[in-house]
Amino acid sequence: MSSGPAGSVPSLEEARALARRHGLTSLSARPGLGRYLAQLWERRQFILTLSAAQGAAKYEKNRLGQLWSLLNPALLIVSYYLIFGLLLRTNRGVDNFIAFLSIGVVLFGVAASVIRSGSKAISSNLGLVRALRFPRAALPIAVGLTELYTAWPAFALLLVLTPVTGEPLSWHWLLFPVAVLLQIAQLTGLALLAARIVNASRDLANFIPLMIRLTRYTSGVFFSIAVFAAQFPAVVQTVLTYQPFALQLELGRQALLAEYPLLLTSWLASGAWAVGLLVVGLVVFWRGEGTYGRG
Amino acid sequence: MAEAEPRPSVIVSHVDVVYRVFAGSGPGGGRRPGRRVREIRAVKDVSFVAHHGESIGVIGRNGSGKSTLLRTVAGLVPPTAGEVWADGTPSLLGVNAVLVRQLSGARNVYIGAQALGLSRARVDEVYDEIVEFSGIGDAIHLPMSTYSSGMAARLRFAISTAAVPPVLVVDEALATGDRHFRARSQERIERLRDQAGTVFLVSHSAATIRSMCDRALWLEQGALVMDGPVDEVVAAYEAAADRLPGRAATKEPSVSGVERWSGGSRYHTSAMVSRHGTPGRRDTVLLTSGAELALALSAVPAATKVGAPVLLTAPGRLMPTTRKELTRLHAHRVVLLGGPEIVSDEVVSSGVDAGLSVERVAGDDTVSASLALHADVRADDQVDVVYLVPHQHVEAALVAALTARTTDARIVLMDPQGSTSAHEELLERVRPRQVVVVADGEEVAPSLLAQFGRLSVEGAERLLIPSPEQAAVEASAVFAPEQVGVVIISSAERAAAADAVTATAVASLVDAPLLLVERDEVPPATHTELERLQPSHIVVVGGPMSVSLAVRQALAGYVRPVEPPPDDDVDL
Repeated sequence: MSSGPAGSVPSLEEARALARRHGLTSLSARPGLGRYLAQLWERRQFILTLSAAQGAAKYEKNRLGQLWSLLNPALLIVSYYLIFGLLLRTNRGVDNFIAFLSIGVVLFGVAASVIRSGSKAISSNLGLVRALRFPRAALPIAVGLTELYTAWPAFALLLVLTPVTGEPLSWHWLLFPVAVLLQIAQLTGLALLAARIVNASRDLANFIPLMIRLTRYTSGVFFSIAVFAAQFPAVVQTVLTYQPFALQLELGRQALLAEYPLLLTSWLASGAWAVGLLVVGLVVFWRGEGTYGRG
Repeated sequence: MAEAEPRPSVIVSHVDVVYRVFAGSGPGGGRRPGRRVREIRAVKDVSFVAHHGESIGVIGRNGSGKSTLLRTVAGLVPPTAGEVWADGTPSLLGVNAVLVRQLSGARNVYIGAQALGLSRARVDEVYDEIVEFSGIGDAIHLPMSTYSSGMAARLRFAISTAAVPPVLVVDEALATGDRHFRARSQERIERLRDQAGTVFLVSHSAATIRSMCDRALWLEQGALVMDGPVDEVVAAYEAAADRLPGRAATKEPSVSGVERWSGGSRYHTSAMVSRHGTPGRRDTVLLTSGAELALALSAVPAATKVGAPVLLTAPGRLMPTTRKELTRLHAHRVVLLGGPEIVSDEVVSSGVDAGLSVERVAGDDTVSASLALHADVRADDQVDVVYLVPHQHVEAALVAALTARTTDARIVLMDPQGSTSAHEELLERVRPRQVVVVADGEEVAPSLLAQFGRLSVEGAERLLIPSPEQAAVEASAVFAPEQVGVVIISSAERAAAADAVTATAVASLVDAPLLLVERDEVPPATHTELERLQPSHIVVVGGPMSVSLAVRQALAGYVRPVEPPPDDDVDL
């Protein structure tokens, strides 16, 4: 048993053969993608627990608690209405601007929050990463689910506010949860990408707020892309309309507002983004497994 | 042939771990934005095979790569070269035990256990046992950011072992916590080994490794020097450490959050504590004999009242370290307690030679010196309590000095066999609210107690000495955890009384809680109080002979973890 370094140390090949004979698993090699996804699936309860806990913790320190997840978007809607609806008059071409703006503010708030927390998914959970071995993709995935836990009061606000502004009830409303799920899927893919990028270079974390700001002003939160982009070449219009953030808001509006008829292309494009971003996000993140939280 | 070999639980083969460190601005103030990457080879070509039922200690000096190697064994740090195999997923218990700090202990139990692979239903089953084992109590519902590192480590240990991991890696975590928890956690580790688990243990203490492991790995600068039966390896390690006196054997490793203030003698310690405790200038300094500790203690409340540090001097001469400290303090007035019988004239003359103005408070014996110190106290000073302490009873004086901290009090020594007329004269003059006699009925008769009682507003009572540890804990109760930064720790051992005196004086002066430990143990009452206070920093007064390294390491478990800066989510 006591084989000092002077003694015969088995070579790497001999060690590998020994491990294989006894069915030991490698801790150093990154598992294959299939195995990795299986491991993630095995930890699904862990991911749910983590999301619920982080959701509950989000407003825990405030006296008003989860009321803030209602108050924050409500106050934001009011201030945006004062600035864009009354002062800058960006409501051209929109009949029900209050409902239009509310959907934009709430859904973009979800997007901003997931990307912001997703980019910090590793760095804000170093305690877990340094202590426990589990597929790290669980962390950015939990960020997306956490948002579902915290944002439901804001969704409820939309469902109350929209009929108050005079929108007729319609079966289209049943598509709103689908729109939200597609959005969360896309955002989870982006969160996985952001987590990998920021982990590779902390400097890039500084660009995240900039990116969020840029998309906030180009995704039609408080103006109609169709109206404002009409002056640009067709290719610019297409990019502005079919980028994922604009589509997320568009889907929400198609589900809730009568003036936005359902367009199959929007939903198909959104579905394609959801699948594409999730796959790319998972693969890119998986390739960095083993580098997270090192040092 | 394959049938004959025992089944391994961990195989580490030719493992290298290289860290890339982004060097900040270079020494010459260079602020080049380029990536200046430095590579550190923390583990170099380490190979070993561990088997089921083995417990393996890892020894080596600070920075020898022990922790990195174990994090690699736990699958948390992938090796740069070489490979690691394990039978199942190893579980690591590190010094940093908090999982998600903003969440409650209860939620952390679920997160931690599920991350280890337990199902939700299984966690429901073992939840109560985990909480019970950790001894966290109702605090389980508070966020882990409020836990001391010892509490966090206990909870982590309970979570990690609830899953019965095939391989458990313990990195110093058992140093924290009290005797009771240590014993129970050792029991669990034994049980784990019996169930064919493998345990890896990193510890500074060769004794811990000897008692808990049957095999040891010795690392030196990242390389494996020796691997074999624990006794052989530890003996070789200790022999090597002895050959390098200046480095491993005599130099105590640093313990994060727990500073030690001590010098080569009680006088050096006293001077050093004064230097750290009162870094600025002080108008008045009280100089008192280090050979008369009861007298020194009796002066603590009076000195604290005027903001004067208490320095111990050798009775025969003014030692250079003491003189240097007196000069550094720029004291206008050095009050020397006692006549030439207590502190020789040589001390005065060396002080005067050093340009100090030394003022003697005369008194042929300690009782009269202590009375003389209080000669100017009047009823106008509104002294709350006067403690009367038998002059030869250092422990009673220590209890009095600790208890006196909670009120405006004075301590006066008395000779139970001698005359007390001077004390009665003093009480008549001071008119305290209360007199407290720190002695039992045999030492100070009830009739005398009654006589003192008549000279105070509310009468006299006895303080029957609890242990000094207990007195310190009771006096510490006035501190609220949120206002406590540093906690001062000293030894309750009789042989270390001089350090306790120094500690009491500085704690009173800087208004910090003072708690006492034994040389090799944190007593239960002190343990509970430290958990309540959760200091941000601990100062140990006295050397390793009065407070051992093991206790100092255990004290680190009570230090409140550093709060990370809040996230700023400004974005519009």
